[in-house]
Amino acid sequence: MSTPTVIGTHVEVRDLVVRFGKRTALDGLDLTLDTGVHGLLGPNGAGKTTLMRLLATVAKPTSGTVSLLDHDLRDHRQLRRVRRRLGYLPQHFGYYPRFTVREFVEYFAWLKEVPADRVPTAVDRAIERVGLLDRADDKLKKLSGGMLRRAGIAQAIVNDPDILLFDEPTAGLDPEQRVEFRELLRAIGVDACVLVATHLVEDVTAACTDVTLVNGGRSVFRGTPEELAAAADDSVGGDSPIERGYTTVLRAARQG
Amino acid sequence: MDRTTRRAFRTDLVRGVAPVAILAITGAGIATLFNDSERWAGRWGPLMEYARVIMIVLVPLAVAAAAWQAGRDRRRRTDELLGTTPRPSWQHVALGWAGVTLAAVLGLVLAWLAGVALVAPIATYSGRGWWWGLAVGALALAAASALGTAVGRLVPGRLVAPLAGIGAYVLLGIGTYSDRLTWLTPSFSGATDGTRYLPGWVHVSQALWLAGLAAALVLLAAARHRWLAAIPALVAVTAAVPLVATDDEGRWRVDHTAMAPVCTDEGGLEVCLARVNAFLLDAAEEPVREQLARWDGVDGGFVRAVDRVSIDDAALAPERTAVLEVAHLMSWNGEWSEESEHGERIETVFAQAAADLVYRNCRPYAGDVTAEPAHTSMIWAAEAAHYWTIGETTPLGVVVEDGETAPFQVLLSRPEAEQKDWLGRYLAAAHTCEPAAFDALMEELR
Ligand SMILES: Nc1ncnc2c1ncn2[C@@H]1O[C@H](COP(=O)(O)OP(=O)(O)O)[C@@H](O)[C@H]1O
Ligand SMILES: [Mg+2]
Repeated sequence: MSTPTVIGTHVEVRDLVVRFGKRTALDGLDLTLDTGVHGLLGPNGAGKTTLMRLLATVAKPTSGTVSLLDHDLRDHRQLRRVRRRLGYLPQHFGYYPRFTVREFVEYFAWLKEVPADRVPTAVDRAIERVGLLDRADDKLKKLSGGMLRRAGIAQAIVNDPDILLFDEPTAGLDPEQRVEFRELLRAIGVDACVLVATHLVEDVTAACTDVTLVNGGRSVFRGTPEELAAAADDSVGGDSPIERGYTTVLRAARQG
Repeated sequence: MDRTTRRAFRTDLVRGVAPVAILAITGAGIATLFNDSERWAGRWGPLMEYARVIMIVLVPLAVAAAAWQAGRDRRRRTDELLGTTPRPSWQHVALGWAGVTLAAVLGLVLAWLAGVALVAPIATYSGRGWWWGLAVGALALAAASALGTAVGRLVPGRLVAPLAGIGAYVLLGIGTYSDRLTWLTPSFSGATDGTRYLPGWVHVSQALWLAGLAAALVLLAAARHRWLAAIPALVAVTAAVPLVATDDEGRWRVDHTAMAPVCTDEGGLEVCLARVNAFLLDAAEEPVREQLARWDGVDGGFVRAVDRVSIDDAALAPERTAVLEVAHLMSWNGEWSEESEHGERIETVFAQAAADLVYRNCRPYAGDVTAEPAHTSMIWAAEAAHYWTIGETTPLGVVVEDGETAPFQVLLSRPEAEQKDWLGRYLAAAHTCEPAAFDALMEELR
């Protein structure tokens, strides 16, 4: 359906600092991402949402540079071009309860400037990919929490984005839906750069090709899920090797 | 506009505040319009003017609806998501503005169309330029919707919408009290009798003022370069200058076509209504002629009755002519009313014409009705003629002390020939305005 439109780097973040008053949310973060499904793992307050909002172009850094699809975001026309290639599901997902699923996704196709002739197919395909086709004409207020999330995912992917940002996407999904969602992630990750921010280790294990662990606004680990599991110190607790790896790396970061 | 934009507009329209706004504005419009339908029934010009009178209700409703619509992204917390999309935000804001505007204009048009049902079937004059007035009303609703959009977007809070509506109502109220500022508000303080119209420049200036205001507010609400709002704002201010710089006098022009008398003549008794009121002629003819017939045999008695609206100045009415306030006898649906809600009947309207001769020609109050009249006998004589015309010895609302007899009762108790003789001399005195003649007339009725 979509042909890759990017050859260069999808996401390139250098020495990123974001401060809210005295509080530093991101503290000199570096990150480079290309196609694939990337996990952004970290405890609450680590700065994941702050980073996602920057990459989604809704917030600006205090210092440092963000380059998306090799475009300069300070230039209005380049920013607009980047936004056409972006998909974003915010952590706190706002929606219009009286819209139907189709109307909502269609409305975002309009906002994302999807060419008019492609919209009907793109909307149907997005709704189908999240498995809401049978509820497409139901109002959003009639949907369960999990279905609402999926409607949110549908609006994020309707423009076949090159960069897709999901902030805590599995919140509100039941175990079966999580499995389906991970499958969807893998499918999209074939030719797009998908970044999934989560504090749930198992989300990362199953779907991600690599993991970035952030803590206190800094990147403290970058590698495959297997590498994270291998970092585990046997003395720490946890239900799975990767959980033990996560805890080990975090402890080391806090001590260091 | 491409298909996706049309779909987005449709979704905003049917899922937004618009359906409620259409109902509220149509409902309020019809209720307020028909509250005073006798002021415009059968007449195109006054129907438009009254549609502009009720703008004082419709504009605040449109402001509140638009403010609610514009506050939606904040209430629903979709600003975050909207901030990542490439489409310039003014387009999203303009969509909401256009939807509320469409709803409000539809409400106005529906209320107006309901009014048309009391005009189109009977109107005898097509009017002059009123459609421009209606178009300005539609533009006013576009400006109201723009105001609401700007306020709703720039000011947070759920109470903003109702408060913006109330604020608009207060502003309009203050505006209509000022002779000059009233021309910047889309609401008229009243409707004319249908023989006045506004010249084109007033409509054009108001249209430019309101359109400029609407564009400036929409740009202010959402444009990336807010300073762009200065351009339409400049147009608005330029158009506003002539509206406030000249004063009220002479802004309304006389429509001589609307005034042109339409007459019927039978047995030498002529009844004439202004063309704009001529739809009443068939029904008015007989009762008016019955009144004229009572003056048969009175020296110089009335042989003609004309609509007050059909003459520039009653003092210039031809001899032996009763000048009638025909509009007082217009009922809510434009039919002739036997008795209006204020108790007016053809007898009372005719009686007023008989007494007015004295007031008009002799000016007993010298223009100041609070002063003591120079010659009380003039007033008494006019009153006697008034009640003679009504023709009842104990008319409603007249208090006569027990054992006393009012002059008009004395007059009515006389033989008919004597009554008519007295009225002939009353008419003569109303021409000469000699105080002595009135003194003599009243002396007779003691
Ligand atoms: N708008 C804001 N104002 C002030 N502090 C903020 C704001 N957003 C985030 N923070 C702070 O920045 C830090 C990182 O937050 P966040 O990015 O939401 O973390 P995470 O998503 O990893 O849980 C936290 O300490 C949070 O309190
Ligand atoms: Mg978060």
